[in-house]
Amino acid sequence: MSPRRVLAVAAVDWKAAWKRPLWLMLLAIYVLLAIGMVGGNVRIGSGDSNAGGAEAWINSQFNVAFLIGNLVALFAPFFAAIATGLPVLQDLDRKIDRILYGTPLRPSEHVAGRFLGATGPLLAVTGGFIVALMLALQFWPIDNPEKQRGPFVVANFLWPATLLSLPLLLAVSGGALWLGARTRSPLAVFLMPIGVLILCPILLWNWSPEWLPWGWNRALMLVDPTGVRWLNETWLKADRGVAFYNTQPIVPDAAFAASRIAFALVGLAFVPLATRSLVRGKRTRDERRLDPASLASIPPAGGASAVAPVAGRRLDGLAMETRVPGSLAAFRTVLGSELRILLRSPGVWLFTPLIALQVVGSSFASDLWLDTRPLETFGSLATSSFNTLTLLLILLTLFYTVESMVREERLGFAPVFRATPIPTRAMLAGKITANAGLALVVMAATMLGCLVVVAIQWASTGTLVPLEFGVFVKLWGVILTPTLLVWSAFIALVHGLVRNRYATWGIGLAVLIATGILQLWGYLNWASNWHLWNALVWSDIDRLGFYGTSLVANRLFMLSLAALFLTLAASAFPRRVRDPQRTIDHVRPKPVLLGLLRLSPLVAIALGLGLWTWIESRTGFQGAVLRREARDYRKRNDATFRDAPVPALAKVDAAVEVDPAQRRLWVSGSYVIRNPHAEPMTRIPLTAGRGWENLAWTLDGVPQKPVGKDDFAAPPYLEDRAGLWTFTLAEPLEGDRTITVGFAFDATFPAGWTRNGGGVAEFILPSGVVLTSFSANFMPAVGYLDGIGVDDRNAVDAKDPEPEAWKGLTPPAFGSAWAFDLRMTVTGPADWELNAVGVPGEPTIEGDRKTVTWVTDHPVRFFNLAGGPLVRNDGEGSSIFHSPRHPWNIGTMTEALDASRKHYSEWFAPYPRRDLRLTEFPSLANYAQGFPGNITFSESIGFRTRNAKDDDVDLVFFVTAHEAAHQWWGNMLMPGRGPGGNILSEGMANFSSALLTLEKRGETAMRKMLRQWEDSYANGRVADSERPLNLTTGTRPGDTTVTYDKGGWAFWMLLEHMGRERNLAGIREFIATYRDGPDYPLIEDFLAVLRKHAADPAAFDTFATQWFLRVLVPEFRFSDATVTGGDGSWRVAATVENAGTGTVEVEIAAEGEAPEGSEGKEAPAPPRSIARVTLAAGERKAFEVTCSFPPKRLVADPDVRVLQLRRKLAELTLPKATVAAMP
Amino acid sequence: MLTVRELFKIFPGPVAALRGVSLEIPNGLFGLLGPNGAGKSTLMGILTGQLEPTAGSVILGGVDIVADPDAVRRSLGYLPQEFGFYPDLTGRKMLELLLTLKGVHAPGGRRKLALELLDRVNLGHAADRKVGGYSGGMRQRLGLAQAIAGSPRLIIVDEPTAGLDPEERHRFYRLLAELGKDRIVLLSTHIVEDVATLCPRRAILRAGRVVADTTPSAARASMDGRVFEGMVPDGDLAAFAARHRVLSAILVEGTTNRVRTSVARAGESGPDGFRPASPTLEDAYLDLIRGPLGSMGAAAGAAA
Repeated sequence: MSPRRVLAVAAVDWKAAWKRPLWLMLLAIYVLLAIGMVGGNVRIGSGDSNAGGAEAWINSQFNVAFLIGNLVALFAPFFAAIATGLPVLQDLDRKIDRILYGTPLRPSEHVAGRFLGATGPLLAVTGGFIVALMLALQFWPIDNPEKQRGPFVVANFLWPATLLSLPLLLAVSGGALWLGARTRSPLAVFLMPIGVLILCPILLWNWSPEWLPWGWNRALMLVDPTGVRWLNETWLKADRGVAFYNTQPIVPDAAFAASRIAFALVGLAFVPLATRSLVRGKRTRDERRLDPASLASIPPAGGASAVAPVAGRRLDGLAMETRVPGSLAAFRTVLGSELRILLRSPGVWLFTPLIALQVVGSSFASDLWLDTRPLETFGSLATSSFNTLTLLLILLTLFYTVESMVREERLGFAPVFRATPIPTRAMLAGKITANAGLALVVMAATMLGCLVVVAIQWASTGTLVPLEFGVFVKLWGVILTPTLLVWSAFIALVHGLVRNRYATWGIGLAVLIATGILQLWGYLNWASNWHLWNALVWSDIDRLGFYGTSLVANRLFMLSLAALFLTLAASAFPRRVRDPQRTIDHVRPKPVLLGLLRLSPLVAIALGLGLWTWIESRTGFQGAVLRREARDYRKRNDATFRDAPVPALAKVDAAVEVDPAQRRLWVSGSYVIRNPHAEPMTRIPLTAGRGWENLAWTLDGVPQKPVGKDDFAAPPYLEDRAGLWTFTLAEPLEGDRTITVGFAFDATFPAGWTRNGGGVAEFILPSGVVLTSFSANFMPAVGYLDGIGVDDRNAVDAKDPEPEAWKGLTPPAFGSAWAFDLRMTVTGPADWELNAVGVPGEPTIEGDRKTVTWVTDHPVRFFNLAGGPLVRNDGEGSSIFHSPRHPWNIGTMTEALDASRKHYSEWFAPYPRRDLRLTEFPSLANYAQGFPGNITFSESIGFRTRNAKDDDVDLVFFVTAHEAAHQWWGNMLMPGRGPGGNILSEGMANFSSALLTLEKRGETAMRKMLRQWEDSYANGRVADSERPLNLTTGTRPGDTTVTYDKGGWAFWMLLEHMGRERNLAGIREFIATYRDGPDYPLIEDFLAVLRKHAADPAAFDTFATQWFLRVLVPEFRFSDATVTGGDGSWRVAATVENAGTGTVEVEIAAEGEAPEGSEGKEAPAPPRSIARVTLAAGERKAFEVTCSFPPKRLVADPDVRVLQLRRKLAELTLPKATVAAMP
Repeated sequence: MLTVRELFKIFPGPVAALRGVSLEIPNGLFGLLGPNGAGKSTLMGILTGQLEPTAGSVILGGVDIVADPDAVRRSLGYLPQEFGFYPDLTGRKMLELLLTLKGVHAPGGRRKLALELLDRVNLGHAADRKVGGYSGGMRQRLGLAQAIAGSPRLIIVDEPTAGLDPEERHRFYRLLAELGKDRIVLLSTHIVEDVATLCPRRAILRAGRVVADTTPSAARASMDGRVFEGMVPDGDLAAFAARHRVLSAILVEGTTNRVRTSVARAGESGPDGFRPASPTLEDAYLDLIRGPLGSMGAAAGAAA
């Protein structure tokens, strides 16, 4: 191989690189991304974003690696594949190879030169990105640079690029080169980066369930060409604290380093392989010698000698007629022809299984509320794969449409094709529709993937969901297809204008990236969300009915744009090459006006639909108008009322009527209000809902009209403070005195469209109703609601909690300070089940309306109304109201509800109400709420939870037990409004569900559940932001997992520390002490009561300090393990280290081989010998374990009794025993 | 009648590919001759509606196809100089597709018609083979089949016999002659013999201008008494060519050239040692394209 000739070939590309649109586009994308990253919105999830907290530096090596790893992997493969895979193909197409190979240039030199010619600019542009990132991260003006930016270290940029990006780019470039030479198909080259996208960002980067063995996880890290999985799993997932990330370099382990080198070498090895493919393809097949006799039977290729002369066979005899095809016929013909060509494309058949694989994989990786896994229905599968499918089809369509536009040109067929009389618009429409129709193949394959998911789910859970193929037609056919049509038409238009495939790809990718950025920043709405990204939330009950007109309008708008783009593309299509000298002729007023006139109907339709969707998005309940009103509410009242004493409800009496078909609500009622505070109260604030109509107020029976802002009025009077209706009383409210505020209004709820689809927490819809007293949607909320009107512009960091806050009188965390009685008359559709709190009276039915009066049999602090077209299932002490579509888990849920009522009553305090109901609602939001006696569950929780196999955690049971526990934790025992308060609700609910799981499902299931929480905590915590349980406010990053998972663990460890009976006795006393107020408890109150029941108060204090009052979590590692012995006695010697924090006693097990289990029975546990070691933070201790079986491995905390980080690494496979005398 | 009036085409550069071409092309075979770069393919592109001229008009059946390029596509059969097909389709499928796109019908249906047409161009045996496997000549024949399909009013064939063997070339001529009876068949080529055989009229383009628009016999007649033939040693040829208008020079046995020259007017004597020769159509063509550019207008007028 001659380096001179290789470089001569490469130099041709290098010289032209600076003006190639492909590289310019990639460079532009990179520079924009570099600037976009400066804001720090995308960075490693470490540090404390609250005021005063330590923050992750944007220019640390870890953050740069995170940015480079993700961004280069997302964007560069497309450009690398196109730049490297196509040039050799183009040389073949243009037959340049025939000339080149007539010179001394060898195929290997040609291929190597082309490879260098493409990778040189690719690496140069990527280098440009690194430089842009250096400049942007180091010098671009930012807020608080001293906190967000560390010292400049050039290695922080170069090392991640070398470690992560270089091997990826070489591998993709080499792979694309080989693929192009091997298949001779540009589409196969295009599909390669899409394959990388499917396998890496979508599957490899984030899929890491708790059950995945560490060895498999390691293997996946090593096969990830981007290296991002390794970065995530090894360094970023378990937060090591911001100080570590800000200062430490990234050190690859030997296996990962070998993997990176291997990827780079494989990329380079593709170059000679590509040469071989090229040479093999060019070699004629008749090289082997044939017997001349055998040739006699083979007809000659040209066939001339076999054909009779044609004299006398005149063309007239054919009686040909020509009728120029109309638009429709031409469209059909082009469509059919294009589809035939596309379906012959091998890329389609390579690509579709990848998408199906992605759907199957991601559906098994998805998690819902409380880390439960969804029971997939066809609707949930079609919707959950909608975003990915849309993205992949858009990319596929981008490449196929461009290829379709240049196909005739490339094949030399254009002069003949364009000379046919078919209308240009029909020609383009046929091509565009065919490319959109290509999606049908992918959709069909994806649907097969969904069928596989359902079949596997059926086999593993015994639950077969209904086979509703119509859902796919609706979601992918009717809803997704307009996206593909508008996109294909847009790409055709762009190609017609720029007439360069590289520029078209670049512009297409730039539009996709810009859309993604706008989506990320929240700027999309129904008018601009052309691909409906994240817009649709599926509910088996609602079935997209919530979106109604907004969805139809968006799709019609896209279709109208598709027609407009198609028409413009037909004008721009180079069927006749325009003469540049005549440009002035084409822009004369008359032809321009005529052209515009012809376009005007399409423009008018598109403009009309666009305006309509834009206005409706803006004026809907999430639109700018109401957001501004909400900001006004906050601006006007926050300073005055945020920390003002809140009055309490003493009684509620209301009548509520709902008309779900119209989303209408009519409410009238009254609140009896009292002052729970010692200080007299002169102003009573009530928050009304946005968009309430005909709102009327009374005070003690006297109608009240709001006074003007500047009007003087003598008390009592009413003010409308931007939605906070404030009564100023004639006499201060104090002591036992009460006032009665009456109200009446009607409303449409939700009013108008969503802004950009998505879900909604409360609603009145034909599919169901959910209304709560927490918000001001249903009835006035007492006091000022500090969550209204908060957005990026006015959000403030939460205050650091006061450590001594628990000592005084603490108000309740939610709801009224006083429990109150409620009477609520509810009118709704006669065939609906509508549940409120309390006990229902006898229903009265008038026509198609049913009225039921609900009266509480035990005081409540908050209330709700939920229901829909549901059926009822009664247990022993509970009732479940569910959609007839979701019968699968009702048995388990009823068992959990009944068991909760029974056992929680025994363990904590008797359940005080007659009824315990659980009501399902459409999954427009994924939450469950434990209102007193009336629990609401989204359909995605419990009802559509994938019930686990026998040996797994029973998630249906767990989630129901958790929510049922809120009847005690959050209702009976209302925590205080202060740091750690919510842990007494959510953490105790988790703890309760663990107790119930132990009772009903056994210890193994309970320990597995604990392990699942631990994994969730280890992966979800943000070390720098984390506060001790008693100071956790729920406002910091990672607080959710601290509240639920660590909270549940801490309460469980406390039970094991104290002993069950002592612990439960303490809990009973705790409830009895605080259930009626007026002081509502925080964590310290809980510990103070429990301490009284501890056998060793000093040990209790040590334990409580470590797990409740400080952030200390151990992490165990083994080293220096040896095994000696034999003949029935072995000795394991090793060192164990606490690589984390805290001081704990931990069990260490030496385990042997598990005995064979008999068929159909659970495998027996392996034999085990235990040692106990107490370790402080950073402490290493040698230990020995003697066992009577050949030891195979060491495990720290085998019974899952101590919360720890990275448990998978707290295991060690032991070496084989060496024979040594036992001591 | 196809009327071309004052057609100009200037490409960015600028390069003037056509400089005021005017032609009247009646029904029948019409030959368009010219050396490489004369503007033939540019003219073809304009006539087929795929290239917009800088100025001028082209009238077919009373319609200016410069203003309305769709008009010509409805009545056009076009065989470009270079072209390809979808390689994965068979010859029959490819032709069927084109018949559909052109709206061509026949009593037995398109499938039968496609086979008949393929038979006419001697491709019946390869009807069900993929076009990707066709030789250059076979592809050319398939191109011809699609061009003549539907008996279009205007057939434009650009360098059609390139790649065809003599037998196919003759078959092709026969088809063109048959088609040329009642429609316009415009044959663009630089093979003078093709035009001589087939075309009752021909035009010669040189450097974007029509330098002759005439019949073969008139062209030959214009050279009567002006062509001489003789032998010139190879070493003297360059000096000889500087003094005389050489029409052609063929090296014989590696040392001597058989040279044909022309003189400006009949009656003038030829070079020393040269004897008068009977003129051919190729002599007329070469005389026109080798003459000084300044004389082209006069030559065109004289030839006409």
